[in-house]
Formats: sequence, structure tokens, C-alpha cells
Amino acid sequence: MAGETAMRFRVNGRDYQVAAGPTERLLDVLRARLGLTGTKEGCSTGQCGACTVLLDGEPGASCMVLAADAVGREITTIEGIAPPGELHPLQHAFLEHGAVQCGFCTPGMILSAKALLDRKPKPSDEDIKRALVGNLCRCTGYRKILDAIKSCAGSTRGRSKRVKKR
Amino acid sequence: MRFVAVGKRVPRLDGPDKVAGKTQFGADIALPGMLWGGILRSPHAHARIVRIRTDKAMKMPGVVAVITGQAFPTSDGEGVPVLARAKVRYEGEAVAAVAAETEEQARAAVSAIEVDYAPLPYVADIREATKRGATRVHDESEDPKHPNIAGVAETKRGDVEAGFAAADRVFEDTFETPWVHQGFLEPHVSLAAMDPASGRLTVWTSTQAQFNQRADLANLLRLPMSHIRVIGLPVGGAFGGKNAVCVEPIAGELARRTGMPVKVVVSRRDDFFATRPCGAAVMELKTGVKKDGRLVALRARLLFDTGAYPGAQHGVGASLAQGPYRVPNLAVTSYSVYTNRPPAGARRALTSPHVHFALESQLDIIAHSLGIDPLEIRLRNALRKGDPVLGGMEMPYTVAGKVIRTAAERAGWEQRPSRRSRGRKARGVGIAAGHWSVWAGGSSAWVQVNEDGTISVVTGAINLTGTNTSFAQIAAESFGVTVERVTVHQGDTDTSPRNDGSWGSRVLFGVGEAVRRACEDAKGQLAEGLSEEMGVPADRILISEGRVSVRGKAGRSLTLAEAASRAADYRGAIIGAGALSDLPFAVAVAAQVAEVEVDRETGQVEVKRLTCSQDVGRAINPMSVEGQVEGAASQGIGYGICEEYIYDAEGTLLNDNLMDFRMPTSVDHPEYEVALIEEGRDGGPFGAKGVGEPPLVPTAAAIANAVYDAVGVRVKQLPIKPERIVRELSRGR
Repeated sequence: MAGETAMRFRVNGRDYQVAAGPTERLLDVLRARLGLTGTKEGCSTGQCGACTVLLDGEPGASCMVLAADAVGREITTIEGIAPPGELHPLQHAFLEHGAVQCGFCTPGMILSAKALLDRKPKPSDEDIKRALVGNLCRCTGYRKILDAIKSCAGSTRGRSKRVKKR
Repeated sequence: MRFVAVGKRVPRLDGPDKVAGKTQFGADIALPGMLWGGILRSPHAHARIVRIRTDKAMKMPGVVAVITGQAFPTSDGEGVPVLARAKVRYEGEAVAAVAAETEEQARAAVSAIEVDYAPLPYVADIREATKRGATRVHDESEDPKHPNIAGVAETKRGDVEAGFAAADRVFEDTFETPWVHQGFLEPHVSLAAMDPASGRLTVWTSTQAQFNQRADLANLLRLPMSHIRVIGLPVGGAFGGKNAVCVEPIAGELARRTGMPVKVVVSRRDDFFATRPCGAAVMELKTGVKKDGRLVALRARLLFDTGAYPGAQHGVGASLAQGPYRVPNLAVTSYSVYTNRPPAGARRALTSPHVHFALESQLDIIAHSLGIDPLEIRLRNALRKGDPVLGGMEMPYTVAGKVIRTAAERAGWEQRPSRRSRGRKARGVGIAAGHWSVWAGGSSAWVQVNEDGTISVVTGAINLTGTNTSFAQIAAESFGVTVERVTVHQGDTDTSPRNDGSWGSRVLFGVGEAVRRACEDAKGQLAEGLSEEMGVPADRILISEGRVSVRGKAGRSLTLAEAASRAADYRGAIIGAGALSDLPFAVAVAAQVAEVEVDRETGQVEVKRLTCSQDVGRAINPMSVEGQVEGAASQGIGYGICEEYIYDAEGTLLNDNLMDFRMPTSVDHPEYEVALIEEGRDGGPFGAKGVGEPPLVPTAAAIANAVYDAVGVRVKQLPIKPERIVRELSRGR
């Protein structure tokens, strides 16, 4: 790409040096440059929430953030919320509550929920609904997602769980 | 009957990868040397293509190939050309495509293709399209008196005129439903690569129907099926929108011409106006009833917008027009009508939600007019066992009444407030029912019993709704082992047996039964393999609870692992197969009660509570079934109150994005109550039948009926927009 410059990103606690173009989005850096494809692209206009990541702990649509603007910020993607081979309590709750169907919205949904619970460990039902308003899901009708998040209230700062080996 | 695996709430087997972000969807795959495809689309709703010049585009940096309509002499299985030839018939129709080294270069090259169009008058409205002298979408369309008729289906029963003569009252109403998008979050995406040595083409794609894709691609690319391998990827939502070929043939042709892998990702905007959304409908119903509410005659004229190319709208619409009710005399004429709109595709339950919106709204009108409780009129007419249903079948069970009654009971129908509140916010309650026939279609599966007693299931059915998890439960139940001992693999067109697409709520019903039969086949092979060694005829060998024993002989038993490894010594392997297409149709009935709050000032409708009941025959995985019901109902809320394509006077789609095409969000979801009824059992596995589509069918009508209950406004056109309600309310003042 024309006019690429070296940029430093901090993603999931690791530092990366990446050559990126001036119009490149954070989403492109994550997916194409770093291979972190857990962050999905559903609309490219910040309307669906599938590309949600955390920037300094706050959820944001990575399709609407220029790569250069993410330099120096702490970026968290779905790949970075639990140690390898383990699941974050929210991930576990999504599974157990049937909050996952096609799974395309799931990474963004979980990150929005994590940001909420990190900020407010015991949110009201209304808080949860509001926190997810930018994350569309067409499969579930949202109920099971809200139930999953509710079940984690007050506990997500705890340890992540081992993935159940099947 | 006690089950070890069926009926358990089992989390999706593909869930751990999905929550971890590890699932590889189409856009996540890249191949070395991969090119990017770009597609030029028509800005006109109807125009003649005078000339296409591609030389400038060919010379752009990074461009490797440019193709136009000449690349595809034939159209797909539904008659839709891959790239327009001579004419464009809707805004967004694909006209040319490029392959370039980067996505940006592909985009730049697309805008360098020069097309001279001669715009033509266009027709966008179904009613206009069928008038004499209307603009023709296809020059060759036959009857001058009835232009733009793409297909007709007629159904008759009894003597409808005699029925009207015998009726105490006759009601005539017209209902309309809009164009909507299926709303899947993952845009269409395909990747194709041709092996130059063998000439074999591999296509990775987000599809509901990999074997149908293979057949269409063979036709479009003029290759034998054996030269095409379609790998159906995890699908990020489809709901009928990924039934047909989309960009697969373009990726395939570009890969063939360039000798390099080519990936085509459809933008969200293009996915809105250039794939196959769900078409509009105009439905005229004339219904005759007795004073006690019994239906005696129904005449329906149904017009379905099929867009610019033919589809299957009219047939299904005609076959479901009686709803889940007994109608002794009926005459239904159903048309697919061409317009200059995108080719209409399927959307969850095809045209059943359209038809039931009309039917169930009118039934409500009839009930109120006759002074009969809306619940009561439905119960009086509910289908019973042996009643004729369309398609020459008989209703196989008496369950419709129970489904309807259950929804009402769970919603507290009898306790609902009897009079409308006079305040600004008015609450109302409405009921509606619906039905869907589930067809098994071509279904197959392989089952292998491994030497350690674990079981491997392979099918070629695309796993959309968690059916693979249900297959694991079915296989586990068949052998009497726990679900953990079963793996389910979705193969591709090279590695798995043929299956029809994952549509029509058929997968659990048809493929699930194929899995069960494959298990029985494998059990038979085990028994035969062990018969000599155990010294008894095969039919005395019993396989259950994970053990193999001799019927009537206590003590002598083997574990499944011991049995499988010994039997494999005799037979080479234990591989069961199941294939079928001949299960009788199952009829799925759903009913819902919606409680809404209507703001008299703004006209805003909020669905507060939705009580859903449904006959599912057997809930193999209740958690998954509830998820289907809630998800479908949520889609029904969108269909009922906010979703529609909005066009301007020039035929241009105005709301081609997810902000302006408003789908329900987390704050729009109501309180759901789901009641599963497990009674109407057909030939599906353990009595299960399709569950994914029926719960969308009654939702919009239940909401419309609740709005009427709340503020006395009858909305006959979806979506139930605030301005419609405000207009009606101000008229009444």
C-alpha cells in the first residue's frame, strides 16, 4: 500500500511493529496484518458492532478507527480476553446459556459485555441492554445473550475457566 | 421413554471456537497469491446496455482480468444471470467483474469500466406491474393482458361460491407486506481456486446449500460436477438469503481465467440491494363465515413480488393460504410478479409470514365484528386430525388447538385488561397462529463406530442452527451413549454424501432421520459382525446403553469398544449409511400472543411481551429450539414494526445500511415466554420436526392484532409504522 509507515500497536498485552498505510483502519491491521480474525466485519460503517474491540477498556468499532489513531492505546480483541486454552467467564456463559448461534456477532458482543462488567460489575438489566445496543444479533433475539451476561454479574474479575475438553 | 441424550440442553459443539473468535468464516480465509474480485453494478433500475468498455480497467495497476456477461452464457437454476446480458433489470444488478492484486485496486478498476446505458421506464409496484400496458421486465413475457406474470399457482377445494352463499357474513380485505432483508450479519463471501494441473475448481463459500451450489456452478461454468468441489464454510447468518448462488460463479470464473485464487467479499450496501432479499406482497382475501365464526369459504388472490427474475414465491404462498384452520371451500390464486427490483429470495418460512399476516389479521377483524373472542374463533376453526390441508394432504394430528390454547394460557389471555386505557400509553394484547409444512428433501449421513466405541457422524448438510449438536444427540441416543462420545463432521461436496440445502426447516427433520437410520445400519453391521463369535443370530444381538448383549441372555455382554474393534476385524469397518427423501410432510403449528404498548402521541409501538408456543414433535435440544423460537420471533418483531426497503421516486433504495434499515436491537427485545409442545410426531428422528421457521410466521399478525386491541387502529400494511398509527388516531378524533 502506498505511503506505508511503521506503527507500534499494543494488542492483547503484546507489542507489535506493523507497516500500515494512512487510510488503513484498525480493523485491517488486526485482521490482515496481525491475523487476529476473531474481530469480524459486518458493515464497514460502525453500525453492526461485529468489529467491536476494546480501546483502553472502552468498546469501539474498529472499522471506524484509523490505525494511526490506535497507536499508543491498549487494544483488546476476543483473542486476548483469556489465556490460551481457557475461556473467560463471559465466553463460558455465552456457551452455557445458548447465547451463541451463528457466532458472527459473538466476539463483539462479548467485548461490549466485558467493558460493561469491568466498569460496573453488577449492572442492572437496563444497563446490559444499553451496553449492547450497538451490537446487532439476528439469530438469538438477545434474550439468551442478556441472560448469559447477567449470570456473570459480579464474577468476571475472577479466574478464567479451562475449556471443557470433549 | 427415558432418553440419555435426546431432550438434553446441550451447548453447541461449535460454540467454544465461536466464543473464542477462532471460527474461520469466509472473509477470514486467505490463500497465497490470492487476488481480489470487484463487481460493477447497475445504477439503473431498468436500462439497455449499449456498450461496455473494459480496456481502461484492464490497464489499471494490479488488474489481472475483467469479465462481462459474455462470460456466462447461461443463467442459474432460478433463471438469474450472473452478469447482466444486454439489459439490466434492477438497481445493483451485476454487470462486470474484475480481479486485481489488492482490494483497493479491484475497487479502482471497477470504477474504470465504462458502460453506456439507455435507461428504460421501470416498474416497481406489483399492482402497476400487472396492469395492461405496464412496462415489461422481460420482453418475452407472454400474455399482453397480464404482463409481468412470472408464475401462477391455483388451489381449489369444495365449491367456494356455494360457500359464500351459505355464509352469514363475508369479509373482504387487502393486506400488504414490504421488501425486507434477511438481516444476516455476515455479508456474502466466496473464494475460488483452480488447480491448473487437474482443472479442478475449489470454491469456499458462505452458503446454505453446497451441493446445490455445485450443480449451479457446473452449469454456469460448464464444468462436470466432478471438477468442482464446494466447501461450505461456517455461515454468519443466512435465513434463506444464502440459498442461491451469489458471487461464487464470479469468483470461480475469475479464478479459472487468472489461474490464481480469487476472493470476492460483498459489501454491506451491495448485500442490501443486489443479493436476494425477501419480496413484497399484496394479498386480497374474501372470507365467508357463519355467525358462530366457523370459516366456510375463502377466496384469496395473492400477488408476490419476485423482482426482476423468477422465484418460487407463488407456490408456497398458495399452499399455506388456509392457515392452521379448517376451510371447507377455498379458491386460491397466487402469482409471482416481475418488477424492476432485486430478484426475490427466500426469507425464513418463505412467503408464509406474508400470508399469515393477512389471514390472521382478517380473522381478528372477523372476530371483533362478530363479537367473538379472538382466541375462541381460532379454537373453533383449528385444524384437526384428518382435515384436508393444501397439497392434497390430511392433517396428521390434532394439535393446532392445543398450540393456540397454550399460547393464550401462558400469556394470561383470560386475565388481560378488557378495556383500552385512555392514557397516552395504551397496552393491548393480540393473538395469531401460523403453520409451515416441513419437507425432508434429499437427506443423508454416514456413521462410523470407531474401535474405541466412539461414534463419528459425517453429513453434507450445512450446520446453521446447531443441527450438528442435535445430530450428536440423535447418534448418542441410538447407541445409548453420552453425547461426549460422538463427533459430528460437516463434510464438503468431495468428502460427504449429498444433501439438499439447509432451508425449509428440513435439516433436523430429514438429515436428523438419516443420521438415525445410519446409526441403525451401523448397529446392524455390528450385530452381523459379532453374530458368529457370539454364537447367536444377528437379530438376537442387542445394542443399547453403550453395550452389546444377547437378547434374553444375561451376563454375556461387550462394551461398544470391544464390539466395534472385533466387528471391524470381520467387516473391515463399521460404516452405517442413511439416505432418504420420502418422509411424509410434517406440519408445524405455532401460535403467539403479543403484548404491546402504543404511544398515542408518537405512534410508537413497543412489544413488551411475546408468548410463543409451538408443536415441535420432539425437542431434541430444548435450548437450541428455544433459541430458534426467540430468534425467529425477534425477526418477526422487526418485520412487524420497523423493517422495510424504502425507495425514492427514481427507484433507488434509500436505506441500504443497517442504521436506516432498522432491525431490532438489545433494547427492543421483549420478555419472551416459550412453550414447546411435543405431540405431533411424524417420521422425523424420535418424533422431531423442523422448528426454525414456524415461529416467525405468526409474529407480525400477533403484533398488529395487539395494536388494534390497544388503540383500535387496524394496520393492514407492514411495517406498523408510527405515522400510520398517528394518522389513523387523528382521523378518529
